[in-house]
Amino acid sequence: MEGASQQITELLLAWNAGDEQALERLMPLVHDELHRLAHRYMAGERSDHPLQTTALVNEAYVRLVDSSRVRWQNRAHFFAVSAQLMRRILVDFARARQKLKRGGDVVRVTFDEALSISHQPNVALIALDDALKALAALDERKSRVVELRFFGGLSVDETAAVLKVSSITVMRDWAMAKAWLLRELDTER
Amino acid sequence: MTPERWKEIERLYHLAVQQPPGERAAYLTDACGSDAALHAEVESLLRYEQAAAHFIEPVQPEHARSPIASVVAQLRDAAAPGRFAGQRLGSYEVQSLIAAGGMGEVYRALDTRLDRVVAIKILPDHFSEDPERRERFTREARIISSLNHPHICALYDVGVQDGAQFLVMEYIDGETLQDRIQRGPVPLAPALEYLIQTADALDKAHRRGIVHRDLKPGNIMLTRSGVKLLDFGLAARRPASSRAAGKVSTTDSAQTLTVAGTIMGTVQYMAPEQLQGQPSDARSDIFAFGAVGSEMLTGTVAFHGTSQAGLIGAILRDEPTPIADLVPEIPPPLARTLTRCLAKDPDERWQTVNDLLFHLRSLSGWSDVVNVTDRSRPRTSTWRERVAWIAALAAISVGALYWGSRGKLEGESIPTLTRVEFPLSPAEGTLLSGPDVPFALSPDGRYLACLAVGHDGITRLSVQSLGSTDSKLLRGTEGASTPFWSPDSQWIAFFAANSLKKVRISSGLAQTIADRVSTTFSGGSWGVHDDIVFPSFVGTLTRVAANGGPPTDLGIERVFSPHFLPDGRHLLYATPSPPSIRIVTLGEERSQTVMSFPVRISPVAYAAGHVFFVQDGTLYARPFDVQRLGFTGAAVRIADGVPTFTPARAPFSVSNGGIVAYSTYPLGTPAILRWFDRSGRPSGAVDGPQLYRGFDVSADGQRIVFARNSTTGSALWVRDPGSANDTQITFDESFTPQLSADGNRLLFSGPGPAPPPKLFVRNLASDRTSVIATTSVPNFASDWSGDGKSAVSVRIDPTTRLDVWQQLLPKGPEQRLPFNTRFSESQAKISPDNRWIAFGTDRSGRDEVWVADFPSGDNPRALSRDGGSFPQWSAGGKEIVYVTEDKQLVAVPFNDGVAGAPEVLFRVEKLLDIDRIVTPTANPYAATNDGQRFLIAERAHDPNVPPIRIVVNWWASLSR
Repeated sequence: MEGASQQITELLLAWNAGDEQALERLMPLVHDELHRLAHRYMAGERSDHPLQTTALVNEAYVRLVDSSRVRWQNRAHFFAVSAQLMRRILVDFARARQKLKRGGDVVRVTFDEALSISHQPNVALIALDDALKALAALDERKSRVVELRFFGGLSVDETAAVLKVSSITVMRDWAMAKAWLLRELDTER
Repeated sequence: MTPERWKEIERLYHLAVQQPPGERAAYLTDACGSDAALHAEVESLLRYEQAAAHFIEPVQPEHARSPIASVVAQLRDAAAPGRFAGQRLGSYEVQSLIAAGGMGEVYRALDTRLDRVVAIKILPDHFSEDPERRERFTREARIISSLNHPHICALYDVGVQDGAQFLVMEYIDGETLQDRIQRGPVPLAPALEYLIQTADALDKAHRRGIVHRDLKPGNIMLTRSGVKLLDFGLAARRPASSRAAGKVSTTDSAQTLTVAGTIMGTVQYMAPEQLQGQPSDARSDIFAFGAVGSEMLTGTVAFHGTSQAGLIGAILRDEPTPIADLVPEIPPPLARTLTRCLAKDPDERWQTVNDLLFHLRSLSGWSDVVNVTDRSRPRTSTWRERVAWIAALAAISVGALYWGSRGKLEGESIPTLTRVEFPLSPAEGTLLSGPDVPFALSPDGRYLACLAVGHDGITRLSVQSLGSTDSKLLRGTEGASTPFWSPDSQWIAFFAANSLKKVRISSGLAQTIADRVSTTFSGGSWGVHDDIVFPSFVGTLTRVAANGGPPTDLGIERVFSPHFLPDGRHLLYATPSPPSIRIVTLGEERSQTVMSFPVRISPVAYAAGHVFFVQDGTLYARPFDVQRLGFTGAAVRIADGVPTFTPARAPFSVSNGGIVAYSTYPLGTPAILRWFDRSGRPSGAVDGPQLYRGFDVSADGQRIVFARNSTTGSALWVRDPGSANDTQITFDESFTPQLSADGNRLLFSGPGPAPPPKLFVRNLASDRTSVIATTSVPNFASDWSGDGKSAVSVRIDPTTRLDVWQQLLPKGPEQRLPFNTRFSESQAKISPDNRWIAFGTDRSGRDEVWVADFPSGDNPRALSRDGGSFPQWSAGGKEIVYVTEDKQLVAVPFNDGVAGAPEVLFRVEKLLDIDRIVTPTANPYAATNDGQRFLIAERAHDPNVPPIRIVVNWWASLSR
């Protein structure tokens, strides 16, 4: 693990210094780690709130990056990459699981409170992913803001740094994107 | 939608949001004019604005400071401080006022005798008026002045002058943590350091019996050399005599609350028991510590209340501010460590600051943080879990009824129901781990029997109702292991000491079924004809009537996990040679194989037309026809992550009615390793909590080697002095490590490529491992001979039980030492001069330590007289140490073959119990060669124990 950590730290530094190829080499390394973490998370069938993704990305960070050498901006970039990967991984997992469960008439009973706890994370995650895609078609940046904040666990300031916009813009985007997504996800509507 | 259109929607949305809620509609109508579609779009978004505030929100920005700081500041201003400035108190010249508050005034002063700057705290009048309290205060001050610790503000002197009582303390240049937090949260690295220093200081004080009772940010000074704790043990102490004399029942809280000016500041960090006037102890400091730590990291107080009553209510009732939500960067293990401090019930907190300190220290390196994060969430019984659980049981009652009425109709179509899985956090103290599976579902699926360790450290059975949140501890079940149920779900059978017992759950009445039986920690089963079967000693199938009577040997060997089929006549069991499931008819000696295990031997159980077993971490159910006694289909995956351990143990339990319970936690008892000196004084934890299967210390006490069990099996680790990380040296299942006298070679056991366990030697310098003996019976490393030329081990023999063997290295001749009998001889340790061998044996009917000549093995004689186990040589071979039945360490001088008078060194209440069947030569402690220090494994709470998983309607898995 030490070797990987060093490698990732180097790549992050290189990327931050303008080496775009570093990112390409960085992605698979981070992906593997996130995949492993996410798998463990999903395999546990935790009924946790999906917000645990933040903790996962953080975990990947402390595991992979020598934090003493990487400055704040690097951290934000790392999380930006991770956010994208984490979204993909988690949604893939959720879809795979949905497919598994669809065998019997399993997911249909939505009013059972017990059920909602064990299955909702999958359903919600997939629906959120779909809604985010729709939002991206309309407003790419807002979709990115949600990805970074929700899947990457970035703060408003970090999100702003990654997207190179002001924090106020991020907050406005975030607030409106959430209202938009929530409306999109409201099946009662 | 065109980009322009979207921009317009966005612009209007943000403008509308800025309007007061009551004016939005009008504003929107006005702004949209005749564009009805635009109006509708923005309006519908606005309807979600409120709800979206909490939607997918990763951080709840909650950095607003509590009103406490300002209240305290006001109170300070309201006092009339400073009247002592310029005065002289004894030999102290009071110079200037530093701070003032409800607890008194603090001045900078000069000690004219020593010419040093000191701080003088002058206590408020009401502290000085009561003579009894004054006397006690002086006494306590003396104790505190003895607390010499770099992170405790030193108390130099106490005095009284003109009715004013004062303390003379170390003058500290710095700011209080309270002031620091007002500027925002403290970053992780320094915060962790402050926490460790504070805990270190508390630990020192607690060991001296001094409790702080008023730990708060205002009492923690931050200086260039780290933290300094102030006001130790002086604040709000209840006079013990007034309690004894039955005077007005002043309590910590009541008393503190009456001390003007301390109200808010103190209550904020007070533990629930203090607020309720219940007895408080060191664990109340642990609560305050958690509250301070949480506040330091998040910048916001752990409990909120707009009024004092509200705040007290919040502390008594509410969950603390979730640390991880506020500051996601905080490593989850740290958040958990602090959250555990804040448990309402003191018994659910860290029990000592020392344990807490150990955890904090282990977090102070990132790599360690990650290691800990690897585990699952901590065991927290949340309201949500409970509700979900009860809801699930309501939902499954249909399924249970189905099997209740039709359960015998094997081969019927399986009802299509929904599978639900929940974590179930069992009642407090419940063991998820032990030598055997520590839980069992009742056949009717209504109860879960668990083993639980009480406050007295004794394990008892606890029964948890699955239909409600009730659980009860059953008396008369002390020392229980291997619980299993009667078919009518009315009784639980279990082993305790050398007896098989049963307890009726309705009345709690416990009875002995049979004495002088030995469990293999490999299950038991109670059939419908009230027969009980269990494997005794090396796996001999033994039968006894549930109503009592002599046990009979059924003549079948190597039986693990026997399980009655519903007819009460046929039995399933697992056997290791070859790994398979077999079936036997009671009363017949013939048995037949029904399935071979592809991977590893697993326990077996039958319920609702299926046989359950674990392979490669997955729990399977395979359809089984009890008429034809054969499988009728392929195995179906029920749950993943279920570990298996030799021989044939895995944490799962099944019931009729479609409920399965399983755990992902490895078997074994979590323990912490600590050094103790000869007088029994412990030092900080060295390692753990881990599941140890033996450990050893080199002769010089420098190198430590552990066998730690995990979900992937038991592996050996070495710790060398000066090295930051432990090194894992084996990856296959391996245990019972024994270091050679020079500390460079390691003798250990493990199954290697295939069972049974055999002996290995590893050269730690060259990293080469070699097998030194392959036997047909399990062979466990026990010790090196004194000259390092041969290995001494313990083998399990079906006839002569445990025996001590010696083998010349590398692959020389071997011999069964002549002192062996048909009873057990184990835990052999050779004297450093290679002339004597000490060993444990039960030949007298109880475990005793014996000595014999070595290497001849002649002349065996008893060393202990009143029970003893686990001999170790110390004092350079002039002394043998052993453990008594009530966990005292006893030292016996031993000179030239002659034993002296035994001396009790100390008692280790939480000494780890050793699983003597699975790893007979594992040890709960190790002595250094000089006999001055002991590395001891103490039972400990592992905060990372995952909850038990309950699967309801597992048969829904069949339709996947």
